[in-house]
Amino acid sequence: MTNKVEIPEIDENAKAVRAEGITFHYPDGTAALKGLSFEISQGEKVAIIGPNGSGKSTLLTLFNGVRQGGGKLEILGLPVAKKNLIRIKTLVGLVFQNPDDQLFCPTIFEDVAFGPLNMGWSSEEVKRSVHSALQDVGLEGFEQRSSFHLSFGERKLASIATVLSMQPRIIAMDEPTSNLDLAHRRKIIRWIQNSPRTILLTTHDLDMALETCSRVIILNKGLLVSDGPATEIFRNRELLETNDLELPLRIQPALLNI
Amino acid sequence: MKHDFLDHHRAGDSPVHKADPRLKVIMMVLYILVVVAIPYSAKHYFMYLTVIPVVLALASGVSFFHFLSKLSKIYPMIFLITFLLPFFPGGNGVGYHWGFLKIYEPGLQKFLMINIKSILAMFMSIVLTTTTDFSMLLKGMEKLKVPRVMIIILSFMYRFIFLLIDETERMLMAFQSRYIRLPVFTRLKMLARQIGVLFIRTYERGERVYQAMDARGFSGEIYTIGELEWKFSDSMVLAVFLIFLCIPFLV
Repeated sequence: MTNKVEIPEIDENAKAVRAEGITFHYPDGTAALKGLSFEISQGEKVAIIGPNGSGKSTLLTLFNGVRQGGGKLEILGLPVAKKNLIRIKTLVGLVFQNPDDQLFCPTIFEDVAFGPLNMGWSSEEVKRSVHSALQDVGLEGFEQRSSFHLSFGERKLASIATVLSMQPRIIAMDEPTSNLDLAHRRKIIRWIQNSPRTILLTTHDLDMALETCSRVIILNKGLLVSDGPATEIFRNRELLETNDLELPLRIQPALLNI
Repeated sequence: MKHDFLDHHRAGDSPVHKADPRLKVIMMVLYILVVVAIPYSAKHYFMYLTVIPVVLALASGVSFFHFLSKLSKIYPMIFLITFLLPFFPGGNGVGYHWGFLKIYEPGLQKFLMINIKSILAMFMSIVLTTTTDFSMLLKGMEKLKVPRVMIIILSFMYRFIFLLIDETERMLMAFQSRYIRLPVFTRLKMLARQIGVLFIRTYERGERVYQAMDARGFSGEIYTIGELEWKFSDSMVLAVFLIFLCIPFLV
């Protein structure tokens, strides 16, 4: 039952992500990413923002090797290539936008155990990691529930647990707060703030990005427009507005006077 | 909790609910085999065999009406397929006149056999599946070496049928909110389009779900942790069941 494979070593001192001119073309030939270069250190929290269709979500899927494009992409020193894919999938957890795409098993336990079981862990290890993943997102005791009996917010938390159980070093989240009610949005924000992991997220919720991330990357039409500290970029009204973005509400001066 | 109706009686603490899912699957398959094997000449055994699902249904504590209502939803299909059988001459059987209709003996026999057998088989399956948690049922089938592919298909179906129902409902609602009065033909055309859209969405969702599986290292095999416990009482029930089933063949 085990499918353990030889595990390539990672360099503990390497950058979490190192991208050099990465590109991606859709099967119909449209270029989604036109050569992006950046580095992300371990433990950094980075928000990738930009209008719809700017390539944010596509970029996230590249980190995990679900999609592969051109250019050079390294995760903790390992190039994203076929021979490293299994290792890279344990290193990078991908949380998709719609939890219904991520939860496909009859029970939450099986969903959260799906990744670890694919990695060939023993059933004791799997149970332990499922338990701690659910505890991490505050869903203890949900093991035997069916995902379609949960609220959207609970499903979102469960979908985070499905990647946490693989104990990834990097978590890539696609719009973690979209469609959430305020209570669950707050839960997710707290969770991101308290997580010791490297987190990359795409979002349109700029206030959430301001609260959780120290660094911001702006993408527009497949190009990297800007990359810098969140405090700087979120104060640069001109830069944001030329990219069809806005100042986060917290920073808008008019609101401070209310 | 909108789709509770499908799972309504799955949780319970009657002996039928608590029995090992493997036991239930084995009983179901054996029962169906025996029912199918009984020839017309031994038709009096059908009454005898009815006892088993009825006893199980009563022991489960779920209202009998619930089982009948489920049965009433599936049975019409069988009736529709078979109701013309008595009117076709087959073999060299005798025919009866009934008003202006002529009914033929072999066709009538076939009609009765198919209907009785399928009602019994469906009744047994309904009683056992209604009282078993779906994931446990899948686990039981897996332990009984049912091909993986079938289990995976069933498990995905159980998960996504609800999403599909939701999506259809939303789409119909959006349609009805704009719909004032349309000729039937136009309405049918719209319905056909909606079904088309639903197919495309399902396909796209399939792609996304596969990506989510792939991102967690899916390589074509689904691994599960099994924790079923075959109890002594399960063996006892199976023994009694087997003896009961075999009696008609021994006498």
